[in-house]
Amino acid sequence: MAQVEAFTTFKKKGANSMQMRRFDVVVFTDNLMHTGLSGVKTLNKNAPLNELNSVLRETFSHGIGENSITHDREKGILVIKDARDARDLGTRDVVDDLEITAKIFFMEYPNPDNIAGLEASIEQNLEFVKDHLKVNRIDNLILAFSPAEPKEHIKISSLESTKKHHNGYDLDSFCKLWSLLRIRQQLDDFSRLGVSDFSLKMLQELKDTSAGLPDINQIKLSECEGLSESLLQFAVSNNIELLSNTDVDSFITPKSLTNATQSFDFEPLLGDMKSKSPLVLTPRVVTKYNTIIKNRSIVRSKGYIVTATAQI
Amino acid sequence: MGLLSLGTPLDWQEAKKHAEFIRKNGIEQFLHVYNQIKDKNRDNLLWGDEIEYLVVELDPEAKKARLLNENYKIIERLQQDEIDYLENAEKGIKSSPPLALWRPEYGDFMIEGTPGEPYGSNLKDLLTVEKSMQYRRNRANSELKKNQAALSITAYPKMGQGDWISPHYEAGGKYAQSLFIPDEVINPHPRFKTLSANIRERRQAKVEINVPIFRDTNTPWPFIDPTIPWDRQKYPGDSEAKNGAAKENHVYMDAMAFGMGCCCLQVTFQASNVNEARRLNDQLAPVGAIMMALSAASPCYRGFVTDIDCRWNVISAAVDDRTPYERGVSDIRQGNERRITKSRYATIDSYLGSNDGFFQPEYNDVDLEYDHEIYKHLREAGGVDEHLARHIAHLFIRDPLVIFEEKLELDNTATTDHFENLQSTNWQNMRFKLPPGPGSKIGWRVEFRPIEAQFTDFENAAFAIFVVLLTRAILSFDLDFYLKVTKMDENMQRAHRRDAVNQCKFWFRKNVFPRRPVIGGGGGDLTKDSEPTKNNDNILTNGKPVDMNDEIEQHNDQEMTLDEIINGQQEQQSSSLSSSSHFPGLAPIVESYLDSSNIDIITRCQLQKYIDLIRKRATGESKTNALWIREFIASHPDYKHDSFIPDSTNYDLLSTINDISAKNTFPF
Repeated sequence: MAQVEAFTTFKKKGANSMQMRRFDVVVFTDNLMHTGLSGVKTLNKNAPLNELNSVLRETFSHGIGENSITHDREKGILVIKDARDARDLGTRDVVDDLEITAKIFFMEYPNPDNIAGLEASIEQNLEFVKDHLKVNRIDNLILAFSPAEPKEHIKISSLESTKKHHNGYDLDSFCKLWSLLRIRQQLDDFSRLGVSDFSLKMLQELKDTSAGLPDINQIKLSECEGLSESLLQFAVSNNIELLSNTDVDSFITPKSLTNATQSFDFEPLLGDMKSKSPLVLTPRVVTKYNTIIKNRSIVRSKGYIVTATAQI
Repeated sequence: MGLLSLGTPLDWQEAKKHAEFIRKNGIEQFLHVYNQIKDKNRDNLLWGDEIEYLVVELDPEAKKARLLNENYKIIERLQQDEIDYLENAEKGIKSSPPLALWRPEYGDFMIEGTPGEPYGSNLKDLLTVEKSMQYRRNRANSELKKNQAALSITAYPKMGQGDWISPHYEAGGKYAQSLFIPDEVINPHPRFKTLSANIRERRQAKVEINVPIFRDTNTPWPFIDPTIPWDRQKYPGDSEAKNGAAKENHVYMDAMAFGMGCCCLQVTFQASNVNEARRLNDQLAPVGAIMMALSAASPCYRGFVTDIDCRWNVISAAVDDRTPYERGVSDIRQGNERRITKSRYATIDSYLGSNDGFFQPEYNDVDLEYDHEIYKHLREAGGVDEHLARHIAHLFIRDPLVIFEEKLELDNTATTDHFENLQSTNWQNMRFKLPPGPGSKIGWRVEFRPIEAQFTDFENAAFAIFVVLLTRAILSFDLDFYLKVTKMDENMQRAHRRDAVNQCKFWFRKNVFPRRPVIGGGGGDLTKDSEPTKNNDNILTNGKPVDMNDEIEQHNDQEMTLDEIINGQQEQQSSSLSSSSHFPGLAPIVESYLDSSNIDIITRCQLQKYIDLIRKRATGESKTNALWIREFIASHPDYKHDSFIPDSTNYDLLSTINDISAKNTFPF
């Protein structure tokens, strides 16, 4: 198959034999609005819906078609796309009617060593979203950072050479990244820039910097009664739109990703990288996008793009 | 409210001569608009609600409550804002649009209010609904005296019995010829009295409404209504009651006012285009009975506690103009008469279909009566597809009931009056609405009509908003609620039953998501999976066509409790992606839709309160208005458990409802 040959081109120049056994995988899930039950809460309405794990399992079990797998030789990426959402209702959405949101989840906060990498990752994921949805701009970019130390230690692979990592919130580093993104915003890469689950304290600190406040703060909605009045007032006073999110904490880990892909046989794709040791997939970045038809409040699509490092 | 033209209405003997003319020109008007507008697209979501109120007068000294008549004067005052706004607009003066629009309804004891402008497409706009309803209630009440109130109750418990109307009038005017209802309670606009008389004349008898009495511990059995004036001989129809029209063990009513004097909550949405309108029409139709049962609010009629909780069948009988042959009670056929199964106030008889691919011809399992010539004309000359053509041709089997002499000859390219004449006198659970004309900004719309009026603005807002959110969820998740028409009809009957919300099951589709194709998996060996193919419905399959013989389709309808329909069934393991193991529930579907959209947290939390009311109604944790009314009456010290509602009980009931409405807090 064509896929077998492609992997020999993933070798990086000067890379040692260990690094040759690694490549990037980018998985595009199905459109969750047409996924059926896996996109809808169950009877226990308070249980967070780990829709990402559900749809990843479905993609690898049922969604891989003949044209699902492609190789971006230039970037060294194996792209896997769920091929199922092809219901043609004769609807031709007009791009001007659409509001597109991309929420990028990073496994760690910005730190002095990873800002460039994060920015590059944001740029890459925005391109993924635009390319996938066939649009030329994003309306809302929201950044989410894992607030707690994950159980499995996750490193950004390009920073393996660094001696230290940060998993706590570092205001200075965040502001540096934020300033870079503000420039992109002015260049119209996206209209609004937001964050997810920033506390009042974090916002107040940010306000005192030159980086500026976000346009959006997505707040996890567990209980409406627990909404902080001071956070609400701060948001109103500073023109921050408080949106709700129901994303699950630590919703993807190497183990959960490996479980989701267990029905998928990567071996034919590995070529001369085949090995007796199992393939380990480590998620690096997850992007969640949605497309809303603005003037009708219809969610046209919602999906995930998972970027992982595959290593054997 | 219906079409309110002005002019000289024709009595039935004259009107019927013009029936064919009206039908023929109505179809031309439809075709003119249809062909100009059928490709209209990208219309925004705009929507609105209509709430009707009964105006009551409370007499604390006598402990009596009465319906207050002559509200046309109040409506004229209420309409002044709108009149001023339109006059200013004509003069080129900018002014703020009115916050509410007011319209008369059948009963002169009724007021109908709608928002001044449609609600918008933003989810945040939903937070203005309750405020708009509160404004309307308060505005209406501001025109009333201290002991009067506009109540959003579905049926007045003692209409037509005793000292029930203020000012008092004797029953038996020439239009209704009713044993119980005076003509003076009919709105003075000529349309309404003409409707009453022409229905009666066409039918060749008074309308006949029989509602089963609630058999309480002291209810005489068999129950023969002692309040019927059996011996009145003012009109020929007076003898109908004793000749069988009044049934044993039932509450008998004989006038349009008993039905059209009921109130409800209606919701109308603008669709993006005609296809979306057809989708919503079809997908909401099976939900109608569900929402009616949840909103049940009318257990009392003509002074008695009855054994039904909803108004629909009462209204259906109240405007049933079918002749004896059409009803199937006589074999003497006059002219071109045909058998007609339902009253012109009834559930839809056919779905319209759309390009969502879900419609199957088997869903239209009722033998549809339609005008074949009109159908042929719509198909051949008009290019209308078969399902829409059949629907229109079915509406047009009816005769126009109100014709104004001055409005016969019209320019069919400039008006849709003749079309609307028939459209507006087919009262169905869903109404598919044509845009007014090529020059109008208003697009294709769908009206959802079954919800009963609730005591409070919070409840009315909750029901309206839930239906709107359901439409968004339907279009976002691509949902399929199709149910055979006969099952939808059966549900509508079940929804009437006393405490149906807790006692009955309803037919509902279990698997409402699009059939999920299975392409393949396992990665490497892609040759073992066949190339995905599309069947006629354009659905990707793994080669297996999806049709009605499909086992999934055959067992897709289930009888579910309202709790299951709204809150979901217990999850069961299923290995198949093509069928659901359980129905997730309309509330979780709506909540998942909200959680998938970019919604601000305040709006999300407020909307959850409305959804929670619907959830609680389905579990029984929140009582329906009907159940609350029953319990109130049953526990009243003056009620003798004989099904008869004493004046004092009625007074206390309505006073309490007035307090509840004013505080906007339903006690349960």
